[in-house]
Amino acid sequence: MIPYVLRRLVSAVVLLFAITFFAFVLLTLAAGGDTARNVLGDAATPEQITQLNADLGLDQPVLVQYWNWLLGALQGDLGRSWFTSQGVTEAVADALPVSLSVLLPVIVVSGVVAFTIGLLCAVRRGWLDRTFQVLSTLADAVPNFLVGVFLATLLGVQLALFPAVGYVSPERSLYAWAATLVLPVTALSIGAVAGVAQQVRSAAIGVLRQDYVRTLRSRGLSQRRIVLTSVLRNSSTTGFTMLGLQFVGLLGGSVVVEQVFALPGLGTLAVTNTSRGDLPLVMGVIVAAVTIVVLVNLVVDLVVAWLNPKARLA
Amino acid sequence: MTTRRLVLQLGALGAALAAAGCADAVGKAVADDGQLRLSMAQPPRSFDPAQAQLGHFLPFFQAVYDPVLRIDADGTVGPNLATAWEYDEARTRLTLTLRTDVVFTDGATFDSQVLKQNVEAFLAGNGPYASVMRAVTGVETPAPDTAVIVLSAPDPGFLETLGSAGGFIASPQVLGSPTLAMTPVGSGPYVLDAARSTTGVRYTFTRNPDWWGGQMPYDGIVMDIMTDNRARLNALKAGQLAGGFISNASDAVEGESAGLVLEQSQVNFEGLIMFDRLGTLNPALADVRVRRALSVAVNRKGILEGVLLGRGEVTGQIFRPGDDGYLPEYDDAFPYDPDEARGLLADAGYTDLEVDFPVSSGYDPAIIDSVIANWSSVGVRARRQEWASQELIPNLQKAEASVAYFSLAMQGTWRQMANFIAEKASWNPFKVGDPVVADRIDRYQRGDVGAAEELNTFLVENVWFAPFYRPNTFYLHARSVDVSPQSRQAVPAVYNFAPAD
Repeated sequence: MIPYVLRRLVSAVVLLFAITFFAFVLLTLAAGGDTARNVLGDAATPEQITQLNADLGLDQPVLVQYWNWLLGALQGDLGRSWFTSQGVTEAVADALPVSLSVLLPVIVVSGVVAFTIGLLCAVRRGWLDRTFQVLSTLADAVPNFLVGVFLATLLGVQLALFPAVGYVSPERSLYAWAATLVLPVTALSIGAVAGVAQQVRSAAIGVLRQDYVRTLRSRGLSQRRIVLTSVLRNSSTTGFTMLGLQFVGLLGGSVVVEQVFALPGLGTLAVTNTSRGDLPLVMGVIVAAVTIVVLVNLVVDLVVAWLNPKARLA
Repeated sequence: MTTRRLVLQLGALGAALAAAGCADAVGKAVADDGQLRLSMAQPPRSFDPAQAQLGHFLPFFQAVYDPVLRIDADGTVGPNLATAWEYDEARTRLTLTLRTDVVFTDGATFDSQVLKQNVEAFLAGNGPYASVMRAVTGVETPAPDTAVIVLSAPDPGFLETLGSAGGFIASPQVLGSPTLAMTPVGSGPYVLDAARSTTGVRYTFTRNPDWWGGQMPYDGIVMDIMTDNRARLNALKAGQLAGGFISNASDAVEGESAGLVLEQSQVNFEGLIMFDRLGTLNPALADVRVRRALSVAVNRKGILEGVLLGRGEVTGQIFRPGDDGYLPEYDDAFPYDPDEARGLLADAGYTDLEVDFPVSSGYDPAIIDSVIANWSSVGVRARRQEWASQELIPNLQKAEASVAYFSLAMQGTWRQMANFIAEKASWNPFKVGDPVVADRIDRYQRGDVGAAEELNTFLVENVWFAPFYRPNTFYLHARSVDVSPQSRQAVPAVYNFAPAD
């Protein structure tokens, strides 16, 4: 197990290096040398722009710029935002808890609800299963940001049951923090539940058709015990893999939902700063996102291996 | 049975949470703690006064700093740190009489030396607004309560500069320090509460108890950054905010119909900017008949009514009512007339004209489509140049478009001359010069107000600009707050908010 984890960590470092390099080059090329002009605004003179380019090191070749960024990053210094002067590490540290406050509950809620629904549909079949098939197709088809707009308008604005927008940190008020998360978590969970439950259902149906399940039944074990032990365990590998994929997908998918609910998370940070070309901040978000993705995949692999010893780690 | 009980319990918990009013957990527009909650579209780049900017950025600076002069809501320049001011005859020496009772929040006191240090820091800071102070050659300090700002040439907009982004004064003890970017130290009505602020997300200001100006009506101001228009509107409708800028007419109308108060003002002119007046990129644009044809071919009123819901005023000139140079008859300088457009194009020999036309997500596609359709009906084919929103301004300023639909701020006659019209102006990317233009600008700079009208006539007759309208800008606020729109700014100044009677 330990060599496997070490191998994964080494490959993660290589991956991080490759992604940051390509991202840096692409972002620099996309900026087209206009960053200083965008920072200074439309009243800036050419002399001002030249000076700011020099101040920010943008007059150097892109490889030199990347090397300087990498040296700083290796020492824990991701630079400062060109547009707000804030330290990038600080900005990411501010945004990450917001995103995780949304994503982790989504994964927990999705996991619990999707496993429950998936198993129920697989065991009961009939009208329950058919209804779920229709609803899950519907949930998959509707974009989560649209669900978010609907929830914000109905439950936030019209009925005033939950805050329509905004985020409160748990240190300030645990109650307010939970209240601000209800709508975005719901908006993101609906699609995630549909996706994971479908996979769990299919896997569980497959398991229920296995000979050993029939053998267990013939030995007099109750349906509940069979489902909660053998079926759940054997179909959960699919479910957990799907949950891991959902988490990675939601990391990107939450970008728009964060905008809808004015949540100052990684998505908002990425959108705001990509559009205006704040390269240090965008690189910070990329480093954070890649690190999260690698860790989540590692955790999922380990959980799957623990649940199913047949899963090969080597 | 157990499952059913669990579901019922969860349902009861949800109902209890709802009944307890989760929505109130985040706060009301004007909470019990006396905080005024506003949304802002963008965070400031820095709190260093040398990096100050206009528009959406001004309130951040107004909260913590005092400007040298105060610009009232109607645009009138009034006293602030300077109680009196006077130009010499040549209008190159501005003598300011300064207050003597102003103390910064770090204990330093304000005097003419501090003003001089701030002006010098501003000039050295290479900030976005640095160009408006380029006429300043020095500051003389004959007495602690007297300063003389020396200009290389008259600057008709200089008093407004001292009342806005060019006039904020920071404590001398932090000038030049990198900490100033994040930790402002001024003498303004509020102090940034760093512990309750998150850069780029939320800025919380608490009352400065020692402010010389008396008491602002609120104990504090919270400015939440919300980049998404719909999120701002929802927050306003839900009562989470007291005020916020709204970027489009339909959302503004929706907010108004939901019971919010809508303030409207006109800050920009919007329409075609004929950058390529010499025909460098597109030779046809050198012909004034072509430029006029492109202008009269567009149904301005139709676009204003159909896309902007009639919120604005049709115009053909870049100056606004009340400003030097404004002539009412030029609001109808380019009446919609496809036949005239066809005739002009035929006279000029361009019956099958092609024009590259920038298209960016920064503008409503319905407007761009309308212009292209109007042009098509008179035989002009527009080739779309798709640019990302952040590419639009740099590309236009790098002279990569001969004509574009664009919005420019009506910053005042002098600023518009300097920034849009003069040969070196940043919005004259092809650096088109003309002796008539240079003469009128020079005369206006030296105090000949009539020269502005002559310049306007030149601009309209030669179709340097072909504005469509002065669109309204929208600011929605709760009924519990009285708000006065700020002249020339998209968002009100922090001084313009007060509890409603």
